[in-house]
Formats: sequence, C-alpha cells, structure tokens
Amino acid sequence: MRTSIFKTDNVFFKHYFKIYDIRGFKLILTLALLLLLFVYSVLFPAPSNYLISIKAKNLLKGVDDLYDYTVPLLAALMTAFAFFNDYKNQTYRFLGYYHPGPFNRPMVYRWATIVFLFCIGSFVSAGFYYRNVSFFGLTGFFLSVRFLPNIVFLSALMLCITALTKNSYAGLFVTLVYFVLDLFSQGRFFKLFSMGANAANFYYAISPEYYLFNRLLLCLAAGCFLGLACYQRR
Amino acid sequence: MRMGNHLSIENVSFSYGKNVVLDNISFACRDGITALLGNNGAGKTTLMNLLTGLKKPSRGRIMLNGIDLLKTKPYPIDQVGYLPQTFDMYGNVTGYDLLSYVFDLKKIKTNKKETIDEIVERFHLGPVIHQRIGKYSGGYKRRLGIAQAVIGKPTLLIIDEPTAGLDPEERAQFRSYLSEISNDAITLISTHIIEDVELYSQQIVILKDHSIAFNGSVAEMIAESITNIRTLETDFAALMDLRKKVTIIEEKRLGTDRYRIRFIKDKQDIAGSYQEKEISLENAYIYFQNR
Repeated sequence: MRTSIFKTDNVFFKHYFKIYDIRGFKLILTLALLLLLFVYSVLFPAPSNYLISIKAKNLLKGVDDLYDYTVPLLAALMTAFAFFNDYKNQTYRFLGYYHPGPFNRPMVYRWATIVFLFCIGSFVSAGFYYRNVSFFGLTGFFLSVRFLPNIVFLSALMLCITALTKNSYAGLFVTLVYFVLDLFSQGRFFKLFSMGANAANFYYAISPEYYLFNRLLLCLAAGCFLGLACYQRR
Repeated sequence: MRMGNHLSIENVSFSYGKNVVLDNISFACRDGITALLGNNGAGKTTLMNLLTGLKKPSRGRIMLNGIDLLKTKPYPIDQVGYLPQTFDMYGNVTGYDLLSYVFDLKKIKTNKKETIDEIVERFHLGPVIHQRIGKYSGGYKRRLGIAQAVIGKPTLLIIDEPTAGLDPEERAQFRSYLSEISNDAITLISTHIIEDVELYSQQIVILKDHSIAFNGSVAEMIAESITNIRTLETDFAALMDLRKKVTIIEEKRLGTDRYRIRFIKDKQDIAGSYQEKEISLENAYIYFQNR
C-alpha cells in the first residue's frame, strides 16, 4: 500500500506542470515576486541601529512590517491563486475521487511548493535586508528565520478556509479580515495569535517567552489548518 | 462463456447527523445500464458518492465481483470509472493531458498512447483533444468526462446525470455512447430524464423517501403501474373537482372544454374511467413517486 501511495505521488509530480501549473506560470510568478522582494531588500536595508532600537522597546513597524505582513500576505494570495480554479468549477470533486485516502496529498504538495519557495525567498532576502545589523551570522540567521511562521500560518489559514467552505472568496475574505485587524491593532487584537510579533516587538516589549510561544503557536495553528484543509471527510 | 460483472449493494444506510438520506438500500445489478431514478433530494447523488468511496455509509456494504469496495484500500479507481454531475477541469489543461494523467493515476498497464488514441477515436474527441478544456462545448466536455471514466476498461461505471445540460442531438449521441460502453461494464446512471433510460436501461431502480420504491426492468415497471392507472375524459368543471380527489399524473387538453387525464386509481373507481393498454414510462415513474 505504501508503494501504491508513493507511485500515485510520482504521478502527481510527473504531471504537475501539465495539470496544476501549466508551463510553470505560478512558479514563475512566485519567483518574480521573490525577486522583487530580494531587490527591495538589497536596495532598502534595515537601519544598522535596528537591534539597539528594539532592545530599547521601540516599535519598528516601518522596518518589520515588510516581512511580518507583506511577504506572508503575498504567500497567502499566491495560495488563493493556486487553488482558485479548484473551487470555481468544482474541479476539487473530480480530483478528490482520483486521490482516495484520508488526506488529499496533492493539496499538501501544492501548498507546500508555494510556502517552501516563499520561506526560502524570505529567509535569503531578509538576510540581505538585515545585513547592516548582522550579515549572515547567527544573529542574522535568527533575524531572518523569525518571520517564517507568519508565511506558513497565513497561507495555511487561506487554504483551510477555502477548502472547508469550498469557496476561494471566503478564504480571501477571512484571511484579509484577520490580516487587517492584526495589522492595524498592532498585534493587540489577536495577542498570542498575532503575526506582528516582530513589528510589535513582543520579545522586548512583553517577554522573550511570550514571543517564542507566539511563534510556536503560529506553527501549530498552521499544522492544524493544513490538517483540516487536506483531511477528506468520507 | 463470459461470467460478467456483479455489483451488490447490501443494506446500505447513510445519514447526515439525524437526517437520514438513505435507509437500508439493497439491490444488485449486472453488466448493462442500470438507471437510478428519483426526485431531487431522493438520495441518488449520495448513493453515487458512496459507490465512488467519496462518502462512507453508516452501515451496509457494497460488493463488486465479490470484493468489498469500501474495505479495499486504497479505493480501486482502476476498477471504477466515475463521471460526476458537475464534471469540470482547469480550463487551461488540454483534454489529452487530462486523459494522460488519469491513465497514470489508474496505473493502467497497456500502451498509453495507443489506449488514449483509441479512446479519443471512440468518443470523437479528435478535433479538440489538444485544445484547452476551457474552450470545449458542453457536449465535448461531457464526452471527455466519459472518456476519462472508461479509460482502462473499468468493471463499474458510475455516471451522475449524464445528459444534464446537453442539447437533444448531443443527448442522443451520449446515450448511444452509454449503450456501447455498458456491454462490458456495470453502468449505473443517475438521472431524472426518463428519456435517457427508456431505450437502453436493462434495470431501473427508483428511490423515494430514502428507500427503494421500485427495482426491475422497464417492462416490469410499466406492468406493475398500468393496472393502477386510470384514464378519463372530462370537462373543466369536473377536472377541478377531480384534482382534489385523486392524484393526477397527466393532463391533456383535447378540445375547448375537453380534457383527458390519467390518475392513480384509488380504492373507489371513478365512473367512466378505464385502464389503457399502454402507458409511458414517465407515467409509470410518476405513479411510483406518488402511490
């Protein structure tokens, strides 16, 4: 049975660019967005006194909003775009039949492709963005990696709502409502479930434990969202 | 001698919470077309979903050639072809790429190109097969749908509302496709278009109030209902009165104030009414839905 599942997965990968992403358009669009992000990060880096400012409990929204909010939003919008046609004409029903089993594995792979690319792109670009603070040292690594839970969380939320409601617009609506409320409340509305832990400086303004718990919760919530989205209710 | 295929649905029930959709359904069928008839909400699509493994019954089992379909893991997509009511695919995928994908998913052992070419020829998809599905007409899309279902010669074909949305010419063409493919496969079609089943169905199963109201051939369906259907010629005033007393299944205007009605016979016969030698399958169907 294991072999059978992996054979089916091979079929999915073999046909990926003929069924799910014709001529790699979605892939190219993702890479183009990440290239823009990279160019922006190279041209407009974070200020060199960044660490000193956040240690003084200042909120550097103008600096951190790019990776806290903008990049995850782009990843979530790409997720919505990738799955839009599944629910526009009920293609998901037909594809669901050909992928029996408790989990819709192609859905996981399609989501993971986008999220993986955004995580890599965000990590590398953020490395350049914070180069005046720390250029690819351990501090630079932590400065870049701290944004990844946001990408995973927001795109998983988008996929979850879209899959549960079978409606892409519902996914967009809920995700955007969450995004706007969180952005304008500076993380106060969703507290531990806020994406703005970096921009709102949870680490120094509240506590390191609170900040780390927030990052962990976002990752756990993303896992739950993904499970809910891909579980095929029989 | 070819044994043929055998499907048996045994004591199958399904509910959404407390809402019973199918209640202890049992019937069996063999190669050929079995039509599943029923009004909207009767449970036809739910039964189709159970047969295709998209839903699990709360009880009962479905046996295909002696194998429990619901216990087979993963669900045998190579044995069962499925055409959903709302068959659609991403508009920018070509018909050929879809058939190629389905061929690989079903893990068919034959030569891929030859098999797809044969299917394309059989369903007259040649002119459009390399075009994007988004450009297909309703008829071509339906043909592609049946082509992907029959690829690999499955033993069971499940087709939900096969001719919905097609024009009369396309419907006639589609019915002949169904007739052809059902020679070697159990072909279960769900429909509420009586015309679809009259010519080609070997067996009819009528669902009503979540249970089976009838299971048999077209001839048996007519024979069982004809003795309970009466015809009467009457005027408008009497017709208005009759509408309150009996279940009328057909009304036809013969002249200015002359009507011919068919109704379900009650305990008391109505004076002047008579039993006709022939009734339509549609009359018989309405009888089973209203008796």
